Amino acid sequence: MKEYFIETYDLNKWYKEVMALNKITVKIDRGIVGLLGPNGAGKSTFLNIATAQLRQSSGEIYVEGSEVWNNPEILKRFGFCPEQEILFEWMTGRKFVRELAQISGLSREAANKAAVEAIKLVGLTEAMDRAIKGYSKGMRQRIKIAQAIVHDPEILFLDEPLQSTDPLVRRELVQLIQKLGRDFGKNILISSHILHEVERITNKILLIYSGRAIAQGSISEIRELMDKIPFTIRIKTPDRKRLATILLDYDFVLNVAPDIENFEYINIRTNNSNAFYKLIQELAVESKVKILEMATLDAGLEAIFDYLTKRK
Amino acid sequence: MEKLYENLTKYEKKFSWKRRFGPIYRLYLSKLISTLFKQGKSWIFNALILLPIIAGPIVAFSVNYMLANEFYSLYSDIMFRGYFGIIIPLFTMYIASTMFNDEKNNRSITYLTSRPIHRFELVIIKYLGYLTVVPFFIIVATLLNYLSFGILAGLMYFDMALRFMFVAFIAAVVYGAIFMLIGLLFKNPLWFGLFFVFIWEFVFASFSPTLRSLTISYYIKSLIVYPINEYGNSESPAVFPGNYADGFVKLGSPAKALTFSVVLLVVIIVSIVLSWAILQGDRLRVPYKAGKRPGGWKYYLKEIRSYLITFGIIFLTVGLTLGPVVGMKKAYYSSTITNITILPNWSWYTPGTNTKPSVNDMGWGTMERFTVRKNDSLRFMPRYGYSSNKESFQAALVLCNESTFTKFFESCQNLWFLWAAQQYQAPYDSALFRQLILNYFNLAQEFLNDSIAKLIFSEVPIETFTSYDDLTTPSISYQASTKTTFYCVLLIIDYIAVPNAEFYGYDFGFVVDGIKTRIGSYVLGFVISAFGVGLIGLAIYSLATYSSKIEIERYEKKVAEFEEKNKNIAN
Repeated sequence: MKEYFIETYDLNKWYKEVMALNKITVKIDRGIVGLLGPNGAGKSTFLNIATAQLRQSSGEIYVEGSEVWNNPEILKRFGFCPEQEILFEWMTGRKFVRELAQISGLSREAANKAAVEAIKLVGLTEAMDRAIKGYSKGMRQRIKIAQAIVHDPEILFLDEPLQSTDPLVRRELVQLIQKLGRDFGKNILISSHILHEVERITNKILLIYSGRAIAQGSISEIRELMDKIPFTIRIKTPDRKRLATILLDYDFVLNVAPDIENFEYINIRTNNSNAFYKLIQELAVESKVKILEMATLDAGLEAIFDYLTKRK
Repeated sequence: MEKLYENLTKYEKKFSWKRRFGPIYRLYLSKLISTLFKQGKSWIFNALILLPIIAGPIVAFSVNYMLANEFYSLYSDIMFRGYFGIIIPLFTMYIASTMFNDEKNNRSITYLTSRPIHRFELVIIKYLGYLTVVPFFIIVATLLNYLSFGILAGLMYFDMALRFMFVAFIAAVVYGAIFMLIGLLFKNPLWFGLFFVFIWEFVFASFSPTLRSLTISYYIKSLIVYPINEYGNSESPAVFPGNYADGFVKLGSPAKALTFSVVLLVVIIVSIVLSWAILQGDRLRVPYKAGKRPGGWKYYLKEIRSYLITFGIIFLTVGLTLGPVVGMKKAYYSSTITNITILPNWSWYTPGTNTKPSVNDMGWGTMERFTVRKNDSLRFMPRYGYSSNKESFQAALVLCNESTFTKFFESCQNLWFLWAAQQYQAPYDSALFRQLILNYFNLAQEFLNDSIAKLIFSEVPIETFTSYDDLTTPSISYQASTKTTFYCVLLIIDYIAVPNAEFYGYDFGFVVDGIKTRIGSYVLGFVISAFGVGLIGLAIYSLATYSSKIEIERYEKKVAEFEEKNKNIAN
């Protein structure tokens, strides 16, 4: 049987009445994987469940074939850089990383050395003897990464690791993560809401949107997939017949039909929204088609599409 | 960069609890110390615990003079009510409930829980960290409070301060565990904590003794007034005549003190185990189809392990208390004190009225009624007695049934009325009075003959009584064959009338050996403690036998299921 990095089966998570994860069934291959989705999509919830910080409401999750909840055995192999900014404020950066390294199995002397090296790796050597209380956002981010890698874990979970770091540090961190994945063979799950960030690190992504796993694969595959999904767009116009005849000449327009509820509208189905929006603009200017109102009926999908294409 | 990281891969890793303990302990210790001394907010509570310091000088300077023991009685009051009643609970609430609460709320606990730690260790080490700092902090504060009082009054009663320091230590230990649990239960534990301290521990406790015995401060305060001497007075240095501690329910025996300590210990253990359960996210679920799940019952047991331990401990304690402690206490005791006074006249009585004298009014004896159940045995004995005219009388303890007693009592009343009507103020040695007495003696003799059991004695004071459990004490013993109401009568059956007022005082006691109660509590205690043992046994069984192998099987099964489903869809 092939062992995957992460497998989930019907994974659900509710926060009282809010559904954070909705029947997620995925199999993620080993390597560096980007977990992508807009804010509030459920990325952090997914990461927290994968690292046993939260417990799923139902369903199963396995990391390298082991259950994670209440299983310190698998935690030995984990490194986790969580989302929260608040650390153990009263400690110095070095002490913080050192104590955590020691909990992860290093001896006191080794932990001391490892902490200094890990901090050096994230470029925080100058500030390591200051209390965390006085750290800036970017410094906190780096110390979080340092504590995640200090014990050389086999599996890394990074929740928005590049957030609020300056471009120089970001470039270094990207290199570091890439190295860890490619040269040291770590399995890394990295979450982000910014596509190009993830794109620089890995090609494999898992797309989450409002608690559902929408797509999985390489970025180009997902792009293609998105293009194939037909959209329905509703337009209010007095020139319904004229517009319909014009539109039906184009091959990316699949169907044009009057709206059942309100005859002032027509519904157009297309499998290429980019081209369609371009066409509509041209028609409005050149052919003087009056368009009073335009809306998409597949709001969610459009948002993702929007998200994947326009944020670049 | 690559080289730097390569260094990290070289360190050897070893996982043992010893390696984990140090860093977590240091981490929490440093956190507690920074919370206690470096946070501005904490100083409000630190000031609170040192509040009695200003009370000493205020008391000393506001009065012109005060006796030393009055001054220290006031100190005891302030400590007993204010310090142990409110200040220590409030202080420990602030420290202990924030131990996990702020970490959980700002989720910084993630840095620990994402590492290979059993969450149980987290609770234990955290509590140990608390124990290292807070109780000693409170002891020092208690000492400072004493010094503030003592310096102005010559540092007397240091043993009282020692007592307070010892009990403050225990209070900090117990409240710490409770508030750690409360901090985990609530997102904002302050409100519940305030309710608990002010309403539950303070206000409810003053309503009724039963409610009071449900508060923690009751058990803690009881340790202040312990021990009690044979006269029922506290020998604690904190107790002064008439102060709050003096009015507090006192602990009787060392056994009771031990029971109280066990209660406090159980409170600590249960709080810790429940904290573990909550931190671990264990869910107490109905075992619906538990046997059919992959992993079966073992998986279910693993899920509820912490609850098994919690309820096991509670059941075991309740069972052991009900069985041996209640059951072994063979019987329940009752004693009644009466004075039998024979006077030549009865000032309360007005001739011509129909007010009949009660049993005790007639000056010949006293009566107690007792209902015993089937197979209960009853013992009935004189305890202490005294007489103004030694060896001038004979008395009897009589056990009889209702009809015998009623007959005797009514005859006596008639006799007494007759005498009172004929010569209300007959001299003590008059012929009429003597006749009355003689008639009464006849009635008494008749009554003795009709009784079920009797014990005649004439020694006063009676010094044979040692304890209720001492079977050599002269007594009446009787075992009831059915449920019966007995009349236990203490009766003067003969005396020499002298021209002075005489009185006989008696104190007599009953011992009802409730066999059913005893067997019942033994059986119930046994069943409950067996249930507790069973629950703990299940937890141990699950600890010993559950392995991740079951999880892996479960996982493989799930994968197979999933692939089967996919195949079907593809087909």
